[in-house]
Amino acid sequence: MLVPLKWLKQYADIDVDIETLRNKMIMTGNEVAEIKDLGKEIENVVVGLITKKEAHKDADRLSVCQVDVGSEVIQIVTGATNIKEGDYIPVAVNGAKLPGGVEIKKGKLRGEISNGMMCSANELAIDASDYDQAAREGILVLKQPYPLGKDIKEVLGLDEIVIEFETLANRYDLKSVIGMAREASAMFNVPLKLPSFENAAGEGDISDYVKVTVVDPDLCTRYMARAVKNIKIEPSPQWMQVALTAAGVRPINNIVDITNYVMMEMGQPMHAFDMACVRGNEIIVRRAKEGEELRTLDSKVRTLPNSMLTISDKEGAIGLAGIMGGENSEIKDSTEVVLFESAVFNGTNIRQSANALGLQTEAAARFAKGVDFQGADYALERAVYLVELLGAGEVVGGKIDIKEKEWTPRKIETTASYVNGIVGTKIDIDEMVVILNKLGIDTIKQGEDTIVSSIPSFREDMIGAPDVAEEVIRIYGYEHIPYTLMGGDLIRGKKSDWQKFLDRTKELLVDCGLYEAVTYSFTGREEQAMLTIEQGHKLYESVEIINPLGEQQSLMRTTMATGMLKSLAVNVNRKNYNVGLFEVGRVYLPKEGQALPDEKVMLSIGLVGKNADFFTLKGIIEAILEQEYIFDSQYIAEGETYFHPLRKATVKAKGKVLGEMGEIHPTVAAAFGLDVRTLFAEIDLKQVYSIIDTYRRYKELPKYPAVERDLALIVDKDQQVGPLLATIKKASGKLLEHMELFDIYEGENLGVGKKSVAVKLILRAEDRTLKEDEIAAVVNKVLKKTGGEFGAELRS
Amino acid sequence: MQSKLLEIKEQALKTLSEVANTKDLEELRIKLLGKKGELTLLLRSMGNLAPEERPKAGQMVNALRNEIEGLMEEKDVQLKASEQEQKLTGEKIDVTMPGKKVERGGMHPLNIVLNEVVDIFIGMGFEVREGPEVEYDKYNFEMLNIPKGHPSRDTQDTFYINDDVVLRTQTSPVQVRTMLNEDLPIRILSPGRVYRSDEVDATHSPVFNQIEGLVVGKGITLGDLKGVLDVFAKEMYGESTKTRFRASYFPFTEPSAEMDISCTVCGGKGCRVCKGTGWIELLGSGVVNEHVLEMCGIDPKVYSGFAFGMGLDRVTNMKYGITDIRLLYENDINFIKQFK
Repeated sequence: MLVPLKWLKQYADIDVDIETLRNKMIMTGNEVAEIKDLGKEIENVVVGLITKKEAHKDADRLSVCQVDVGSEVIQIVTGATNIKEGDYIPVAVNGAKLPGGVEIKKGKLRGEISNGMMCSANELAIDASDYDQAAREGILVLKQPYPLGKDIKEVLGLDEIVIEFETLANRYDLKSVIGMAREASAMFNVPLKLPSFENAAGEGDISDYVKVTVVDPDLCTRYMARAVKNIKIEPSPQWMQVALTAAGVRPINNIVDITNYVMMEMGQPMHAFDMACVRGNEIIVRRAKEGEELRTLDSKVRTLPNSMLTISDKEGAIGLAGIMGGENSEIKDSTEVVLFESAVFNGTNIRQSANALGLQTEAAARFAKGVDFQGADYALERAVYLVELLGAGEVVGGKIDIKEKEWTPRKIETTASYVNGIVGTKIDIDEMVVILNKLGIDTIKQGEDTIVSSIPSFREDMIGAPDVAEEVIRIYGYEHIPYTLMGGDLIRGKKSDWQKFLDRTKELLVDCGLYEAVTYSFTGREEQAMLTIEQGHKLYESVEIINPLGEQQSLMRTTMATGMLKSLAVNVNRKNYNVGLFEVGRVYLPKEGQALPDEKVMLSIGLVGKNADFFTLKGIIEAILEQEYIFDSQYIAEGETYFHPLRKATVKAKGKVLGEMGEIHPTVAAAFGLDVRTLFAEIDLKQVYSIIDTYRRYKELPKYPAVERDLALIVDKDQQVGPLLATIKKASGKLLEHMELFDIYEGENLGVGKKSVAVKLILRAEDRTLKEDEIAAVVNKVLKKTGGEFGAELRS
Repeated sequence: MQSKLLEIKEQALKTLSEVANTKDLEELRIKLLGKKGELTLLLRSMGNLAPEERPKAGQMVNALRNEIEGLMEEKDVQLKASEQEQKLTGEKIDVTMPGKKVERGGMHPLNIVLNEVVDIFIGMGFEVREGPEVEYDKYNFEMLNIPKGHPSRDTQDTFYINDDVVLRTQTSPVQVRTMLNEDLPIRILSPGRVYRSDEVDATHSPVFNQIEGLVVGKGITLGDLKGVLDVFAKEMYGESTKTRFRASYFPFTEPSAEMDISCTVCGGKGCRVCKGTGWIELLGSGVVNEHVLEMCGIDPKVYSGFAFGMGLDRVTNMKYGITDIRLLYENDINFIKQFK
């Protein structure tokens, strides 16, 4: 919203510097995007009249002009071609300054004295879109005569500061100069002077000109109109053009400019129809017929769905209600009778229609936020008042006003102690009442503590007591609220055990040399296929997004693998060959009969490069589990299809499946751009958390010596070591303190298809030094059990 | 006998003076004092002496033995010292050679900053709550005063799963769930992943992270909000950080406030980062809307509260001067390494 400062001062005559205004506005919720001083760089440019124009005797393309600038007549040599005697033009006299730091000095052109320069729109750095093409491209020939020597900044409205406000979404009243003036008047304690207008009585009766029917009152809660006859279309007066231009609105003609002026001034969008084009002299406010076509003012043919509201006549649509008029009822030079429309349309409907059509107009933006129900009437009267003021036509008597119900102000009753209580202040009740009244909210004090406010129609964003508190505190100043800390209840802040578990797991992984990754939670069918996840796979069913950004972001991930593999690939592509990453994130698994999916918290680990081997990864997983006192995890040689068929394992402990790990299948890795060995694990952290053991208790240190025995057992080459070790452990019984695998050897001397598995047993009893026969008994039992179960023999 | 002893003694002293290392010394010890050593044998041979001579002879042998042992011990200490010195001399190292690499990894900058934020609020009595990312429309919007058709739904560009389920656009539904399910007073922080359908560019990402906070109890005020967030800003950005609260609008708070902090780059003088204003917008906040409290079954006549929310990605980027949000989700270790 562009607000020219002079326009604002017409209603609130504030006397503060621009920085003070900016700061106060920002603090009260009215963001200032930009402050533009339009004519800041222009000096000594005045209105001049070309009294004589002659050809330059030594140059074909130049002419020599005598220009009356009021105080004198000066000679100017120019190459411009769009000027003639009698034109009023901007003249930069000797010593003048123009935007961009240009200074004009007198001089000679081909022997002729030139005492200044006639200016183009470009040289004045103004937008002259309301001028014809010749004036825009050549010298800016003024549209009408002005006093000679008058400062061009006044003529063109360049002696103006324009503030661009970004107002809050709920404050529809601030989409107007008066709205901003009301804010300023409350902030700086100056009276608000609303524009005066008498209700124009007019002659005749509007019912002789038009009949209006509102078919869909749910989308049009109020429709008002007045007619004006004997229209004389001409440019609007300079003050109006200047004001509109500064506010970013292009002047068109007196009637259109009046509608725009009122909209900028009061926030009420208006529309003017040429009654000659309203067929059957009837206006019908109705939803579009499905597929109905309308050529809007921007010359585009729009096909309308039934959800959109039209302004129609007997034959068809002549306007898109609240958004844009139809080309067929546009104001033309020949227009004789005009109907001014001032209506209240349903904001949500207007917003949705404008969005659907991609047609964002000033009117639509205002209706979308909501407009002032009562203000529709003031705006209509203001418009016809301006018609009379400008002599643009004769107002017809009577007024159309169709509304479902009378407006009544909302009453909000609250107390000063409530306001102070919720804000944390000690503002006096009388001060509150003063502030609210300054904002145009009629408020009275009842008794000692009660405040009763009557909410005006331009502030229907105010629903209850908190809104009253907000208005008080906004003007009182947020900066005056003391900084306090909550008293009362004693509350302990802490992380939950689960959060602590996550923290220490991450810490451990970092200690293992891994870096934490964060990846998107999206995936797509193509990526799933790269991972061999096809229909029927247990990870295929996914949460699908109806309106995704693209195929690759159309599903919520069911495995962390895609993000991890992509991140590893990013690194390998950038020649980071030795990379270990981990991520703690969620997978989203749809659950039959449930609206929301199961969101599992997973740990993924990915390794490439020097540490990318199965047992390094397994060691990391064991470290995580041992940190939680889980020492007996099992690794079963099975897992997802995206792993290497013979280098994968499912991790279990205490009867729970914790996750899977292994080497990524080379075909899958290659699909992700990884041509190196890639290790990946995915662990369900809630499952791990469910079996963690936090019990820690001191155990007496051993008093008696331990005995070491090394055993090398010969077994079949294919024999898995895990079960063998488990049997050794079990057979050793309670004297076994520790067992360690220290060598695996294959050699011809062992026999074909055999290997030797060497373990160190550390045996100890708590209450005695072990005797040789006890030790021998343990060894014998191990040999017997492993011999029986695995055919193991002691290597000699 | 005596001459024999003397001979042994002389021989021993001579050899002892020539011994150059502990190994030779040990050999000498064995030769003289070992089981089959000369002195040992001499002592044993005393059985051949007359009984009356034996005590004297024994004394003489033992005296010699003690003497030799003493000398040998002395020699041993000397030799050991010089041997150790020799050994140390040979063990000279170049201390300027690089250390053996023990590579520790590092946390992601988003989580480093999140932990900092969480720690600050835990210090003020907050607890952390989490909730689903695939969330009911009801919790993400409706119960936060954003009914269907509300304009702020347009700007939030929501990903829909179906009419009733969305990818949460904010972590506020965690606040709703907490108010519905937990006892008062409430003092929680809800960090987490949120989603909005923005195309990826330097400042937008369809996945990003928010940290929201909620306090509900008796007598909670806007002043408390200012106090808590001021403490946070000072802890996070330094004691000299100033805060500024401006009036604002959010559907779920009333009154609402935007919090700015004094520019972390120029300290408030005005620079390119703060666009010359001296302030940087950090978060949105406000007093919890009465209607929201009511919908969550909390009586606004008895209780009040405040809420706030900030973008973790933005806070992180501000802290480290990261200019492209995409870097956060690429996971180049040369990026992540910079923050450990």
